[in-house]
Amino acid sequence: MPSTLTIPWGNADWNAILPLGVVALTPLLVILADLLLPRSLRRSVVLALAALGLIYAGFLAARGWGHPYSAFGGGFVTGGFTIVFQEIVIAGALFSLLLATHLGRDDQAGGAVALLLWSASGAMLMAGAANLMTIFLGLELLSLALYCLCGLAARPSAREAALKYLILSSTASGFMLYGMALLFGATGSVQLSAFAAPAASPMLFTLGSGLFLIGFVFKLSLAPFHIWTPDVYEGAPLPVTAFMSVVTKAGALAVLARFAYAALPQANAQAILVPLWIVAALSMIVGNVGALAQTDVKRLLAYSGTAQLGYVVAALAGTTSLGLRYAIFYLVAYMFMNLGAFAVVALLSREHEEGSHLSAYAGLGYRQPVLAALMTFFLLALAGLPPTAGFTGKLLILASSVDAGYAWLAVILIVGTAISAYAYLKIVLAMYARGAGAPLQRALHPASALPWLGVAICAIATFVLTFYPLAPSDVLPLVK
Amino acid sequence: MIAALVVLPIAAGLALYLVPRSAELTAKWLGVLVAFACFVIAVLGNGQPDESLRWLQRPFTANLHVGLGGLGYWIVLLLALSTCCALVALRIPRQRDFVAQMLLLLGAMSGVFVARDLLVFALFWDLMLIPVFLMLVAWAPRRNTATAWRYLVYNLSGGLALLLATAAYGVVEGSTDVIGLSVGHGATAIGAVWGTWIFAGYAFGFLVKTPVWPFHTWMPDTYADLPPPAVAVVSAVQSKAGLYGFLVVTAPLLPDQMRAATTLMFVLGLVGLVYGALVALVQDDAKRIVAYSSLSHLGLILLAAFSGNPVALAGAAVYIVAHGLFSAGLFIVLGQVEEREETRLLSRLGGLGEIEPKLAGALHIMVLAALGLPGLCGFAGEILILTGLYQAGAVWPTAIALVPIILAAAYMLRLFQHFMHGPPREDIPQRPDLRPVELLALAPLVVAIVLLGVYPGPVANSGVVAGPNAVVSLAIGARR
Amino acid sequence: MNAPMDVDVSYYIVLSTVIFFIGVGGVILRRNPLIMLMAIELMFNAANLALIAFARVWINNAGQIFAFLVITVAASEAAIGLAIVVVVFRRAKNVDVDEVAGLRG
Repeated sequence: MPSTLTIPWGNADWNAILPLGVVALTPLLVILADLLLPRSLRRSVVLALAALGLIYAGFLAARGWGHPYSAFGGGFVTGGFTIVFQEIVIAGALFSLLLATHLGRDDQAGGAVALLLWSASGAMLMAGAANLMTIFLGLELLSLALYCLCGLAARPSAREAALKYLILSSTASGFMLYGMALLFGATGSVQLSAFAAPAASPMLFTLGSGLFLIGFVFKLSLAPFHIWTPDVYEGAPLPVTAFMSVVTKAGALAVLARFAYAALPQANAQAILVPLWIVAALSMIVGNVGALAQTDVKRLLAYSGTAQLGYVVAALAGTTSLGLRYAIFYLVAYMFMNLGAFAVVALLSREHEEGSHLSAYAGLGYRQPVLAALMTFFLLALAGLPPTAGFTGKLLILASSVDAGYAWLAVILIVGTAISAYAYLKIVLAMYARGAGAPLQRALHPASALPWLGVAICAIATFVLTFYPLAPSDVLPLVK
Repeated sequence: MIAALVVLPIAAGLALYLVPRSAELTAKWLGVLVAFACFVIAVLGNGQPDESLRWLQRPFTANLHVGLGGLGYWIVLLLALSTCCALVALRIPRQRDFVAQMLLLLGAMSGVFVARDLLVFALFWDLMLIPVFLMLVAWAPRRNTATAWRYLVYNLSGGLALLLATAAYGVVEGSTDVIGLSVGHGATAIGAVWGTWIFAGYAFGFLVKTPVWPFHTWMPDTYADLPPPAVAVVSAVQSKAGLYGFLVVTAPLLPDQMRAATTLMFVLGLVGLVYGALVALVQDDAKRIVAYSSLSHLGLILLAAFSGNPVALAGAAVYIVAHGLFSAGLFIVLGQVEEREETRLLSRLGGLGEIEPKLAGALHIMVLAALGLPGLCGFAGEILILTGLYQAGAVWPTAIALVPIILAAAYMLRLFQHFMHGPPREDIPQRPDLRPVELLALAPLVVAIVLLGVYPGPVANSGVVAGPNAVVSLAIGARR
Repeated sequence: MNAPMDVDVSYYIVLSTVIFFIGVGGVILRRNPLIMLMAIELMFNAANLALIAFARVWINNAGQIFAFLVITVAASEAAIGLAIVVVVFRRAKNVDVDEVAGLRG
């Protein structure tokens, strides 16, 4: 079954990759601006340029709604699914830029922002990837830029985080790549669409998808491959951590969902995916239990991310169309509540110290009542308590799990949520308890207007999504 | 208009943080005003048409549907009244923050009793945890946060079980907009397998919240550690949410499961009834006496709720409101004692009656109402329940239930005697009697206690007998 | 699976599997980040070998194109990896990942 690759010169091809192209080319402008502008202007211009590029790309992506295009000989397709994930990636990158007012030294800002955008373009490629090559390319583009970004901060823990992330993530890529090779061997095609037919060698196919999924379980930091996450989150600079917590996961989830929904042969899809649901169940428990002992908010959010992604994957369990919609809804809700919490941490940060240790929150309810109230709101959202998008999102996942016949996942979700409440409310307790440790008189970060904007947007979105759960229709991944 | 019962206090509670922290009196009287406004709105809103907004369409229909009527109306009145009285008598450090939390609690609890949709019910059910948790954290005596955790762990487990049951109900039935309907009036009977699990989820949530033995262990500590105005409202109204749930949610919607659980609930209720009374006899802390007496009284209402007898159910409605009135009064008076004498231990107090006759008089009325003196509200409820239980053929439970009612006289009079009679203690401070404003706080409660005692008809008739199986829905009158 | 060649394709697959597991073993057992990076390269190249062998089986040159892609990506990965190793161990005497353990797992 020979297939030929066409060179992407067609009109539809350009339309398909236009948003991606804008995000991938903006960094060149960013670097140019970084070279030419005086130091005082540099950071603000760089951030503005990057933000404009992302917003323009978001606009272009949204304009493609209802026009499914494909590029790279079917290796990249657009459509509702791709667009939704691309917008999530773009929004996540924009929020990370809001927090990037003190990412690296001033003379590193241009490079850092450029890397961030390149990384985002990798995730956007993954969102629409419909063959193994584009998946691999997108994933590596995402990861390679992130390795560098992790090591940006001037402290040893950042370099250590970069090394850990590099080695562990590359190993996961190795597993995934070998899985891809086996999938190619089993089916004779790299197109995901070709997988839906029964494979020539089912054994090879099962083995290949197993290795492939291991790679993505790692990238989603689901248990038991989540061990790297807290260390990397703690070491990486705050905006990069925020970026990783949303963008990496959105990209990896897009591939996972496309693989689960469109690529697996109907006959044995469930058999191949059952280990994945077990992984999701494990993540909900391990992530929440791990979060209990944390005294650093970034580490807490790392474990929290493991658990929250467990919820998202649980929503996909029945591979029903409703499940996918609610997984996307929860991912969006998670983006807002999680980035809101990161923005609060950014506001509490100072020049050489990130405000992520629990001690920075002692008595915050009395020093910064508004900020403490908002942080409480985000933590309640992460814990799934009302009136937040986390509550509605969890309810929808519960409903879709019960609906799909995975009531046991719903029960584990509830148990995990009960455990997680302790972890999140521990911070609330620190903020409001009287005289728990001597409260440090911290001034807020001087360049705090942008993080405040992030906090405000996230808080409003987290509240509004409770009552208007916008779960987009028409998001089933198309594989032509 | 009915929605204002929820929105107004919550908005006012949040807006109160804009009042300067030092303006304590302003904050307090604003709080009183808002609570009084809620009372007026509730009176005007009784029997008004329901208000509904679309919330979810898939995976099941859920509406932001609120309505006022039946038992819910009386509990909302009780809630507004007890909040109002508790705030009038308020003297506490960080008064503004406390009033704000009380208003948030008022709004959240109103939501539980006006909800006409199971999902809205579940939302407010979980929401009303948060202000209580924050009050336990921020006003904990001796900076003891263990109580806050225990409160949270128990009640959140219950709340999450309830949420899961709601999700399952929605998936099975296709709609959660069913409170006030009964099977045969729009809702359909649920199959045996799902019905049992759904009922188990609801029952667990309700039993923990009430609380019923053996889920009560969070309750004495919480009542002892909460500031008196908060515990007045929590014991008066929050503890009724579970019983209200049995009467208004599960009795009409899951009648078969209710009937199947009767024996179990009778056993739990009777054990709680006797155990609470016996433990209350030997407590030294006055607040704990009232806490255990609540356990005992609420056990009696549980019996009535599961008896299925119309007279007993009417008695349950009366006793729910009656217990709210006198327990709010008792806790407010105990707060006034503690504020004056800096202790509430029976062994440390004595002879207050000579020094503070008004205080003694107030405590006397509350104690008499609690022990069921004819002519006061407690008696009206008890006699209806006991008659109904006897009519229903539950002779032995009626006989057993009589014992704790006699014991109530013993522990309540013991409390009064230790506080007010005997020689005045030398080592306690001499303080002035009740101020006019403190009398003002108690007057409405006393009036209500007497009124309900001599004319319980309107509350008793708030339910409508439905169907041949004598299941009474106390919310049917409100459903239009 | 009668590929027109003397050596049966399954041998290539077996070889690539062996190389892959050598790579996995290297990452798990060795403590020198340079060796670990080399082991990761082994995993990548095992996949390359498998891809090319399967491309031969299916007579589908997508596998060969994929292999080229992997080679370029692996090169950039190595460049970035070595840069990070240099930054981390610039001041250290021994190049050993156990020395880098400030963050508790």
